[in-house]
Amino acid sequence: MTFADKLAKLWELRGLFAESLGLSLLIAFGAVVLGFIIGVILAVIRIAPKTNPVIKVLDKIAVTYITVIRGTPTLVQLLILYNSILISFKRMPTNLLVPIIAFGINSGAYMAEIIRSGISAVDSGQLEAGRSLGLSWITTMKKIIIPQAIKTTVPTIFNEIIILVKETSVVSYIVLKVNSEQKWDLLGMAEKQGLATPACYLVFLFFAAILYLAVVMLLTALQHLIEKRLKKNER
Amino acid sequence: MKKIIVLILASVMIACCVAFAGCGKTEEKVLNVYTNAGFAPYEYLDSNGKVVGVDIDVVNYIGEKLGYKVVINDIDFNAILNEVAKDKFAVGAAGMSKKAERDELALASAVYATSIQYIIAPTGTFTGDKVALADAVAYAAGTASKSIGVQEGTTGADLVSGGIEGTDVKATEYKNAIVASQDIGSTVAAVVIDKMPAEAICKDKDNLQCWSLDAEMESYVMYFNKDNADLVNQVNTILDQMIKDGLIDQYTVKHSS
Amino acid sequence: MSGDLIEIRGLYKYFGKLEVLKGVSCGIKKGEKIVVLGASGSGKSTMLRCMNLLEKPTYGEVWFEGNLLTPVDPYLHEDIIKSSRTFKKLISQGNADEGDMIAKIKKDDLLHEKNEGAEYSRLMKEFYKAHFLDENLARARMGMVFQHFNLFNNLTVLQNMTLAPVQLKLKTKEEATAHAMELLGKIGLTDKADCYPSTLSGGQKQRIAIVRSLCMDPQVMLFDEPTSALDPEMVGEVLDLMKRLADAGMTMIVVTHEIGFAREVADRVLFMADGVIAESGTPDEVFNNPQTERAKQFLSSVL
Repeated sequence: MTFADKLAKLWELRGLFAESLGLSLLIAFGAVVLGFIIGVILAVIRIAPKTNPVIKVLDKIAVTYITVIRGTPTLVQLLILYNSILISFKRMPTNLLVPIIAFGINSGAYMAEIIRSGISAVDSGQLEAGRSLGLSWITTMKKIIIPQAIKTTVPTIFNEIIILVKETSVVSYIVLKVNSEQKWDLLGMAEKQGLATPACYLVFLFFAAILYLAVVMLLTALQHLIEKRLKKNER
Repeated sequence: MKKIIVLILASVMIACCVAFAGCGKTEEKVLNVYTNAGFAPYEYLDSNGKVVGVDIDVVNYIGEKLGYKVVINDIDFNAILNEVAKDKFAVGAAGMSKKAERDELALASAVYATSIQYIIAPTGTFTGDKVALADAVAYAAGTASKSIGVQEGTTGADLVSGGIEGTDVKATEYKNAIVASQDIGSTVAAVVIDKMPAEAICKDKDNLQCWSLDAEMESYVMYFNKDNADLVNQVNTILDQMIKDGLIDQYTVKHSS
Repeated sequence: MSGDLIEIRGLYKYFGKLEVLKGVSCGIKKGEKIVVLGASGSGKSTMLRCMNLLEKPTYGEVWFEGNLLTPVDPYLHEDIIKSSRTFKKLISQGNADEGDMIAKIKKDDLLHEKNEGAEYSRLMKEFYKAHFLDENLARARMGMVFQHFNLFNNLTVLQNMTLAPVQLKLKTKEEATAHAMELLGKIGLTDKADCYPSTLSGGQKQRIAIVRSLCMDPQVMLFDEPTSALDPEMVGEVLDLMKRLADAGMTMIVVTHEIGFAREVADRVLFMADGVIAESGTPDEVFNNPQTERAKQFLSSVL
């Protein structure tokens, strides 16, 4: 097969690759949203004053969660969740919630630490001013502290998003189903098609890599756009 | 800023709703087929992203005849028999040769195809059509890598591990022979895999050639759950008829072009 | 308790092993302007911050508008001490003088909260229930101005000012905005309503911080070294605003180094040293006739 033939084959499969890319991105962004929400909740729990005994218990749970999730490989977590806790999701005609939840739970642990450090970096005077006006701790956090924390952590959060997008490439270790049909993520599809047409194996892998690169570059551009918009808000 | 976040959240939620829309319960009989779609012509991905191949055609035919809905699951090759053992109506159809260790985990059907192990090596390495295992090992011993590549879990892997005993040649395990063949000349000296995939690999590569190994013929079977002997009997009857009618040969030709 | 707007009683504050407040008591009446002077480390900021519970005293009580903001401190209530097992035990041991016993219990910190008996616990609970006020509610009626301004960086000036009244449902958005614009008008900064704090000078930030607190219609304003972080040319505009506030009748407690301001505005000057109030009196009394050595030393170095 000449190189031109291989490119022709790649072109023929462009729809499949596009669909697979879409699937990878859908899973990644679902996980980002879930991870972010988990991260904010955990960060707030970790940073809350430990006067309430309920907070103390929640804090210990949060620390355990963060330690365990950051300490085990993402793929292991995916496989364990797929075969145990999320087993009822696994059987659904469209079981994308399984990787979204697994990757979301994973990302949440990292986001928690990122956001927590962002919150700590906000000057303590901001909290004091809010409280001295009579606002509760939670309201001050919600309206004053967390918005500022997020601003400073935008680059690190995007870093985490980029890592997550590429991490989803292990998702074809489980059987993904959309409307009862098995589907593959970008890497999975590239590999399988490469095995079906062995001469094109390398070409397909390269193509997958290029697509991932394009996505990351877009995300980086988005990050810069957001950073600029946020700075504009302060002028 | 807020609008972007709302937009993203909304689109994710809509996607999840769409995903959930397919939730429903049906009471039809289902045959869960487990395979590893990297083994043309028996199972591979076509240009429409569907798992196709000889094995797929066979199970679809059987499913139609017995009134089962057939669901194809492409998973890791080594996980196939585990899944079959867990599900009464599961089938392992992945160009698997009948093997004693496999018989311990699951119930084999009748033989539906045969194969022979091939060796892939740089063009011109061996003369003639058949290569003795000892010669293959000797060749590998003379290379820098001192290794023969195999696909994990296959009978080819077993064959090689038997042949290298007592020598300083190693067997390097890969998830797939196609990946292994990329390493010929570097990490491995040659690759041993079933005939059909070997021919597919060598087809478009000028620098690689394949020979049949002087070894026993292998028989492909499908594996079923041990509690489902009834199903196996029904399947064997159909397979018998399919072979007589030349259906399986037809499938093989169809997927080999 | 005595008609004071704010009363602090027997305040002790430890930061770990470091004792910063060593028994501070003070009452502030409505309309009074108090200036607190002292060297760094004297505890003046800590005392101020205990008044609105930004710091929680280790011992002692803080009262605001007749309400108790801290937990009950048993050592400040004779009837509670007398109901304790410790006291009863000491009396039964033949010690005649109640007053002496009470003093001894206070001095040696002899009460163990969990072991003092049912009557003690009941009195503590009843007193608490009768007088306690949640600190958030109290703080909404007190304003605080900080050395480093602490304007909310992620909000515009107008949003800074309307956030609390609207969130706490004290005013509607329209009412709060109107009030805020009116206050901004009084300091000549209406054109900055939609600006972000990072665009403002220090003097502007502090004046806005002051009117931000005023949007909550506070009963008292607490100032924690309001001009210490300002360039000299901006100190004047902030002090002027504070003077206008004082003239309008606001109760104020100001921790500052601005002696001139103290002379002009203060009804009472407190001089703090080593965690206690060392001198207390009118500006004239404290500046011209200090009683203690520490005060004399301090004043001679600043005047």
